[in-house]
Amino acid sequence: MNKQKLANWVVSIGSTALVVSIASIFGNQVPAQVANPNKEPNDTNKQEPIGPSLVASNSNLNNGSNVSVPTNSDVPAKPEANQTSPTKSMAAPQTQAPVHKPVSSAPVAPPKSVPSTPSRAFTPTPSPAHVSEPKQVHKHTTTRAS
Amino acid sequence: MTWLNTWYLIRSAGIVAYLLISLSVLTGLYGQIRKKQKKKPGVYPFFHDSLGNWGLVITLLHITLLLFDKYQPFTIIEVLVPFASNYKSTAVAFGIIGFYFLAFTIFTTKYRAKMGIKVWRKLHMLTPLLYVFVTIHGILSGTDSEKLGIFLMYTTSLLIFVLLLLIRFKKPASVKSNLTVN
Repeated sequence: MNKQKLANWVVSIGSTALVVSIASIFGNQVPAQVANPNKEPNDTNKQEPIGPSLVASNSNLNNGSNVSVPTNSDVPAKPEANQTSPTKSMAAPQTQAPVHKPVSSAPVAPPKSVPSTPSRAFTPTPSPAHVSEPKQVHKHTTTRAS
Repeated sequence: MTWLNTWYLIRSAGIVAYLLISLSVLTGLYGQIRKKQKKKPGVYPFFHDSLGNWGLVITLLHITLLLFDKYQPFTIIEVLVPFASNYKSTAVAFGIIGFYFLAFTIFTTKYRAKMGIKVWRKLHMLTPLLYVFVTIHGILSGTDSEKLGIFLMYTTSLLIFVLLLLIRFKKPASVKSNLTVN
């Protein structure tokens, strides 16, 4: 086998293997990101104080002024919005693509958190449902950053 | 089979295509330096050709897959005509021009005997521009540019490219001394 053919074989096999392996690396990154929204929000031990924005949004809800506006506790949607920092805006639409795909295919996450949140939405006192939601947001950002 | 997802394959094909094209340009420059230093070319010319050819193949895969992506679909016009795309039109245009440049370079290399080595060599000297185009395209439109591994790939490649260009076009010491005397 001459050198040109050998080089061709090395490059063709190497490049094909690289395409497949990098694609599989990208594919393996997604389940970890998707798994978090489904995490049980029952961890009451690590309660974090409710921020002013949440209180404000609750008051808005009580007034019935803007019920559909997502608050800082809308866990499944918000982390992705947070991930699009101003510096990352260039990569925003497509970076979210792999994340969006699984999330949109499994819009199970928002309904899961909704049943636990009515008390949060209409009462001024924090319910256990509040507890893990900010934490979930945080976890999303960490997994996203990795 | 998560790797079969179109979006992952588009990204990975783009990264590998960039890697192959840049390696092809770098090995070409390195081969020229060895030739200038009157050393044996070794296996670099063979890898230079293969890397370029497979760079074109993987680029074609990258472009073709863009037509089938459902999240960020591109039309045939958008992937072939510069500035026709609504999505990062300038960055995409650099990629399209780079693709034509690559295809032209490989085409002229295949038929260099017919067109004459001197003409081909002059055209081939423009290839560093191809590298610049694909690097701009990769950095600006690549959605993984901020990842450490990809960032290192671009910076390392750019540093080696600049270094090799400086060595390649550095004037020999004798010429330098003649210039200073004159």
